[in-house]
Amino acid sequence: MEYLSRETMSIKEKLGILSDAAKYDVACTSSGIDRGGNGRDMGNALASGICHSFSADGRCISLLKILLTNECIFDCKYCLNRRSNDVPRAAFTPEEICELTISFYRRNYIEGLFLSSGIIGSPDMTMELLYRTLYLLRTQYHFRGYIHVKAIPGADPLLIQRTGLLADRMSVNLELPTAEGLRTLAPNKHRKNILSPMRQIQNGITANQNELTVYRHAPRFVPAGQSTQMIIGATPESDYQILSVAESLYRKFELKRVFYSAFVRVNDDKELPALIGGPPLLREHRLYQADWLLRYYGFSADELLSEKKPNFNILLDPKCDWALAHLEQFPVDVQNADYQLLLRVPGIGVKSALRIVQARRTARLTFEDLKKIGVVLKRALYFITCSGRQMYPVRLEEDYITRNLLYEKQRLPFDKGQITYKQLSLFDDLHFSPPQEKEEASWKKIS
Amino acid sequence: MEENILICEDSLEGVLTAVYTAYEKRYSPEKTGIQVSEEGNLRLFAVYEYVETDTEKSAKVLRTLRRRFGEEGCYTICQALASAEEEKATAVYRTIAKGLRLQKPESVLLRYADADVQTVQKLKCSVWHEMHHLFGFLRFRELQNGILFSEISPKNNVTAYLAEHFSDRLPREHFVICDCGRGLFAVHEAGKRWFLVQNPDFDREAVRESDEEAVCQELFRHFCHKISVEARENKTLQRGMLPLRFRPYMTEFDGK
Repeated sequence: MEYLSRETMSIKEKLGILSDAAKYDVACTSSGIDRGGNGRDMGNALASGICHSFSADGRCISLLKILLTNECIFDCKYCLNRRSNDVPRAAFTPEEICELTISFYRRNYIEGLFLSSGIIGSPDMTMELLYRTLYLLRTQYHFRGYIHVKAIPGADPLLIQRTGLLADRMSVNLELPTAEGLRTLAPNKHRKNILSPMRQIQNGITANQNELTVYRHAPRFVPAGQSTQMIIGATPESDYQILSVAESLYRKFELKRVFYSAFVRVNDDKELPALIGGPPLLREHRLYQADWLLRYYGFSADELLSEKKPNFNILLDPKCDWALAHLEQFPVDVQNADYQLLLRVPGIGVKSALRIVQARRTARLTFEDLKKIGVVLKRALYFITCSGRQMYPVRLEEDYITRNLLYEKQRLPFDKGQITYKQLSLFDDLHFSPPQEKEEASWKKIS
Repeated sequence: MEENILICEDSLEGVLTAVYTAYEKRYSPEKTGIQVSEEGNLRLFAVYEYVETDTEKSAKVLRTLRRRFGEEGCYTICQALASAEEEKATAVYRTIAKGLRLQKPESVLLRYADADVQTVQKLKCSVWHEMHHLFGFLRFRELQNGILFSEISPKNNVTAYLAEHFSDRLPREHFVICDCGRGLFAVHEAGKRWFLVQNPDFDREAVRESDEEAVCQELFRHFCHKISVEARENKTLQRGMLPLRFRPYMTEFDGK
């Protein structure tokens, strides 16, 4: 076979090619499972995950993220490793990956292994190679650290099942949020093929949990859950569509994480959009913020976006945006508002909401206390009261708050003077609605 | 309005002995402070007292803390005491005193509106963060005799926590973690418990790396370079996530 004949290539060259090829995969988390050492074998895992370094793009390096091989029989338009690209190809043997993982892990460079692969020969063959690597690493090298492995769509379910018993986390990449997108950009992939291993892993995890309640020492199947990733900005989907897909993945497939990857144009292809301002990083950021709101703050996709408003506000984060559209629910009093409502206040996060609930049992909270607790007052002060008082006399008006939130550096909220010397900007009035109409509306409210 | 100020050694045992002494002498917590160093402005109307560290007394206090505050509460208090801030001792002492008056002492740690508790929680948080950073940022180098050697220079005294973590992770390895700033060494021999040594007879020049070490370091540097996406380069973000003070000891930032 061809890939075996490349043994002359040095490990360094291979590592270069295969980590270069793996870098567009986003997931580099080592979280989700607490596994103490057993006193014999190397390795443990922490539920919080550990970042070991940060690369020049500011992303965390937690796992040794490599491909087994960048040979691929598929021709996905967005992918660097597609069949039609003329790039140097390389392949690791399972032993090489094990050696590399162990020697990096010993020196505390990494938290574990992230193993993905191009499709070599067939999905089954690729999956088998992945399985062999993991098997070797777990049984011969006695590695107890974190392993994240890709499930190859179209591979035999038995292979996926067996691999899942060795890995901590598995992921199948959804790649593009809609089936149409997949059809145009990844002609060899089908949505059905992607979703079926995802469903299999989900069922496997559920079945395993049932087993574990009866037999405590039953082997664990994908204990850190599964994740997936979507490419943002390669196809014309709206944020609303993307977020709805993510929501249904969380609800129906019980995924641990959905990752969003701003599209980077690595291939020149007529099907791919030209990116003038570079990858859509801000859009990706807003999607992650919204993703957190879905997972930890009890929001649903329909609350944040709708058919009428399909994309996020670039200037404000999704939570502020939501709060400004629902001013009738504010201000809330920190002393007696319930936890779910506190979570919805901009500037209050999961941790500070919990602390507020704990601390107010024994004390009346002041704004000074809130600051110490970790509340971001420059955002929260418009929406909360302490013992019925606002921090500063602020108005609960959408335009006023928006203006202050956007210009918090130039204008302090307690700066009551309306005169500013700043230049008129296009973003001053975000709604571009005729002022008359608004006046009428407020007048109606009064009467 | 006379205040008592106890001066003790800057260590877990030192502060806990001072706490013991304060209780022994029935000082009122509101009018008593504990200071971990000599420096600072002397205060008028305050009586200064030196406390000799006594491991027996500190062990008694620790036992009480564990029993009354629970494992988690005790962990929080000990971690706050690993901080490098000077305000830690008084804040911890007063928090303990306030807690022990309650039926459930550990609930005092949830009183975020209390100034002393705020300080303890803040210090615990910063120590925990540094510890967690170093779980990842610490780098071992393999020496010629097979020992894994690591140098760090943390703000807070987190070496013990690191040793605990790595002895669980690498039970069959010999390793040494050296806190350069404090001259504190954590030593772990394969298959045994780790221990701390203060200012041992250590010859920095005698450290010789194994032959394989340079190859491995080069591989990792190459990996770190390759894994970054050029189109997303963002050094500011990198600096925010990985502060510069950790970098002198990290393999991948050597010579940069």
